Amino acid sequence: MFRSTQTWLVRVLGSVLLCAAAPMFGQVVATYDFEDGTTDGWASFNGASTPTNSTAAAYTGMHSLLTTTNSGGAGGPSLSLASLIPGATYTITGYLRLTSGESATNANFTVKRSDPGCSGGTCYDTIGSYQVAVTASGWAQIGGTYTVSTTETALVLYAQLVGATAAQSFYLDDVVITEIAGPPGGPQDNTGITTNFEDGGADGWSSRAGSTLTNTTADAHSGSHSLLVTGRTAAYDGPQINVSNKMYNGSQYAVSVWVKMAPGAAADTLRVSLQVTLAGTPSYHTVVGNTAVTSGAWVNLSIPTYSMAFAYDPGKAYLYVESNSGTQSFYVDDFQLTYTPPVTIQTTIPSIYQTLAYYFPVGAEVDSTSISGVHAQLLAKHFNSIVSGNDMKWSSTEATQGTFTFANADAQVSFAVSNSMLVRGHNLVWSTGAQTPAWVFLEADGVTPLSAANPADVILLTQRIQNHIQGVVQHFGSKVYVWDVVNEPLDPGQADCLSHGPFYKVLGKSYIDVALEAARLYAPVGTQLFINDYSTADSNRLACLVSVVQDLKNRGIPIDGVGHEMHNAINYPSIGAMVNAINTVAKAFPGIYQQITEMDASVYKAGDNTSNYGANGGTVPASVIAEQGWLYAQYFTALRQLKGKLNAVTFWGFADDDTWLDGFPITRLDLPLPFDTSLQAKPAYWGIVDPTQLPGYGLAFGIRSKTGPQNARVWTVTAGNNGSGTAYATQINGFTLMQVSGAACTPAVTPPANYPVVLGDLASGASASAAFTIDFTGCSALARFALGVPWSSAVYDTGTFTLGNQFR
Amino acid sequence: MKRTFSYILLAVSFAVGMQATPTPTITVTPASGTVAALPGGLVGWGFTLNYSAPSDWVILTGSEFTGSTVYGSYSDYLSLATAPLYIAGPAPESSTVTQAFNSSSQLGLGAFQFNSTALPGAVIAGNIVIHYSVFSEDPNNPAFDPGVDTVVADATVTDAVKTVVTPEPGASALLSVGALGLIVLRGRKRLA
Repeated sequence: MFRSTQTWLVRVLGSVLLCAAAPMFGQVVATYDFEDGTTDGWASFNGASTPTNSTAAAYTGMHSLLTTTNSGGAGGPSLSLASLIPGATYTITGYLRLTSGESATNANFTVKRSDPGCSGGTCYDTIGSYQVAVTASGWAQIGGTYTVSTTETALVLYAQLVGATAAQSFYLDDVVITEIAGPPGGPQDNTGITTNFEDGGADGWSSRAGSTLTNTTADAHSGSHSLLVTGRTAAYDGPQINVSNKMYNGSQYAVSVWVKMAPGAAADTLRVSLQVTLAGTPSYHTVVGNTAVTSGAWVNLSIPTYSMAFAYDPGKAYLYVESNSGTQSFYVDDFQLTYTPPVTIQTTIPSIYQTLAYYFPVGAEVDSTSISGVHAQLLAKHFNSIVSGNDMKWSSTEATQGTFTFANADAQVSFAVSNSMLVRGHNLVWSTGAQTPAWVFLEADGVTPLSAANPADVILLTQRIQNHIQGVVQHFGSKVYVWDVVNEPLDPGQADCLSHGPFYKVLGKSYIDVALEAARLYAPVGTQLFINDYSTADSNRLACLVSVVQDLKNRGIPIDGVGHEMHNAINYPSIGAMVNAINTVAKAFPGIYQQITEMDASVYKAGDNTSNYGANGGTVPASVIAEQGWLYAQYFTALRQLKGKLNAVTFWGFADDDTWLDGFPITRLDLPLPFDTSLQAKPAYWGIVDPTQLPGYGLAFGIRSKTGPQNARVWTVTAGNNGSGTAYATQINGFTLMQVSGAACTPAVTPPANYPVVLGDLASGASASAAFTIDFTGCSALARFALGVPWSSAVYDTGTFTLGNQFR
Repeated sequence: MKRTFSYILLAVSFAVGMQATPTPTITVTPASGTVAALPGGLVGWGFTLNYSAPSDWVILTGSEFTGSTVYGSYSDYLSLATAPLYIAGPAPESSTVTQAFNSSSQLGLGAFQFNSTALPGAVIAGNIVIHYSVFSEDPNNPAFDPGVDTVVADATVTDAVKTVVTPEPGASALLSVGALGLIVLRGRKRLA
């Protein structure tokens, strides 16, 4: 019998009454027992057979649903869950049994969820236990609890076998969907909570288990009031605040509260926790971890992004401050709960790689977090090449001699393949021994360092390089089109231009030969073999690069290309130096491949190892971000002109939420990439794709007036910002008059201040002027001049305002 | 007496500055504003200047291109030291001045030089901003005194223009062959 229709009607009525009455917990909303002889709306999923009603077996009654997986063992019966309520929590259970003769395997329910927050727009959510053992001899229950995402657009439930590799048939029966909790009891409230106790009250805080909360002026983090918690009866006893509707399942929040132990209280460990009660059962979750707190100073317990992942009964969600073990008194002040809007990528802006498709592929360095969710969406939209940041390095692929592990790298390569992206391989041998296991440089005893003086050691290291390269490049095969075979081999401080690292110390420069020859031997035909190095725009390193490549070519060592890392800074290298590096190598070795392999642009100047814009809650000034955008515009205007010499550009990352420069050369805030920490396009992005969108684009100069006598004529130069963003740090860098007509004379120009003449930050629509006084004594009235006024804005937006035929 | 004269002069200058000054008409040539060339090619614009104020003269002094310079760069011919003095106004000048684009003599408004790697098919839309000055005396008149006769030191008019990077001949031929193939196919389909 099909009972679901009737039950769904009850659900609809229940929904109508939801605002006025408590939801009906534990309410069965659909049952599929197939006793009416139909398939109850179940359909085929992923190539499985069309489900049929069967009387050959049943968990209860006489009927069940029979389905055969596809030839690969995948697929099964499926059901649309369109009527489930976003934010509500359900149990979904059913019983599954293999048909007679089938081999035992595993099974579970899965929901295919269409959701903009999922990688590629689709997530697959396992319901309950994964891989429940199923056999042909009895029924096994599958399923569990499932909370519906508030952002989903479609849900499809299906039963699947896990581990089957060939077609297998199974029965499904008595599928029951029960709503155990509605959405948090009311509309989501994203206004957050702020309490500072300055009004003398408790601001909504209450005691958890008998402790006393007192508004006090004895101490305060800010203002003059705080909340004193005394008489605590247990470690979990303390102040709590109801966050129902304020914290919503599936959303993210920033949580911050200041705490301090009360006078006389010993140092203790405090934390922020969350209590939710679902279907009458409470559960407890740490929000901000254990933090040492004393009576000597206020301590901030905070987390910038907390993902709320719990459903709860209406009104049953609390944040609270507790201790790890003690019951001492403490102060609380300046609590803030802030809703963090979900991150979504901009879908209507131009793709970077499509914009530059005529010139070169554009890649990004990735890690395991890059290939799912919104990061994956951003990656796939803007890049057509990837390089694994760490997961193809020796320490990741062969941490133990002879044991190769590729799980992370394989996932990244799989992502690339499924998105039609190229894959760079990075790297096989790192000259400095960085991210190379210690065993590589030790004899078989695991203790004795390898020595160039020991012929056996020379042979051993040679073999290790060969074996490693064979294992790695053969694993990835043609999925990797270029390998950084040797990473960072250069050292201009050495006579032979080579870094004398641990490989060199045993094998001399031949380690490079060994690596390249092994890569040529084991990699598929056509794989490009590179050496990759940094600061190749520096003249000394560039000279070494040419020298080393020339030496390799002279000796017949296979090398196909060079990688220029281009970890740049806001002031380094010059565009000219970058271009010169590519041109120099192209000229020295016609036809050689060249790639920019690790591009980023720090917001700090080269060599500045102390500044930190992020110190004390700061951020990088908008002027610097704009400057970086104009710098990227110069980069990519120049790189476009290297078409034919430059074969690819790869960024080291793609969004500022994940950059190695947060930890190098010191731990600090750095924002070097095209997208910001919320995955939104920065000026750097627009500099690459369309510089006319940069802040300050459209800056226009003119002469507002010419006044005064011949010997003190005042020309007022005006800069107007016609663009949509601020033109930062606008300045005039000179003022020249070249006589083009009339009897020769020499006007004397007096600027309003020493150059540069600062016009400052010009907001959109704003203008600023500078008055130049010119003594035209000796110049006839008919004398004419050509005016030149070089200017700059945001450092890298530069030009010269010129006018001809200017009378005084 | 000298101070009184200065005040009178200032008042006149102010009055002159406040009076409505006709805006010259400057049309670019080609009239469509669109110029095209292969990657590496040079294109540019000429102009026709018309100014019919009864007692003022206008001269052209400079030009700028506001579009993207990713695929090339603009050179202003009007601000060159060699630029002619283009004057329009009452006799003995003419109210209309025309100058065709001439890259070898660097005449016209200016030129856009495409990079050799410019993206074929790229259309760069923008404006040409043309600077001019207005005087109450003919600058060719020996009596001209810019200290007295300057009405507008610097103003601009704007014309919309486009530069188009045309595909290489090889690519054009391929496109033509492709288009021809489509035509043939369509024809065959009709016959079928």
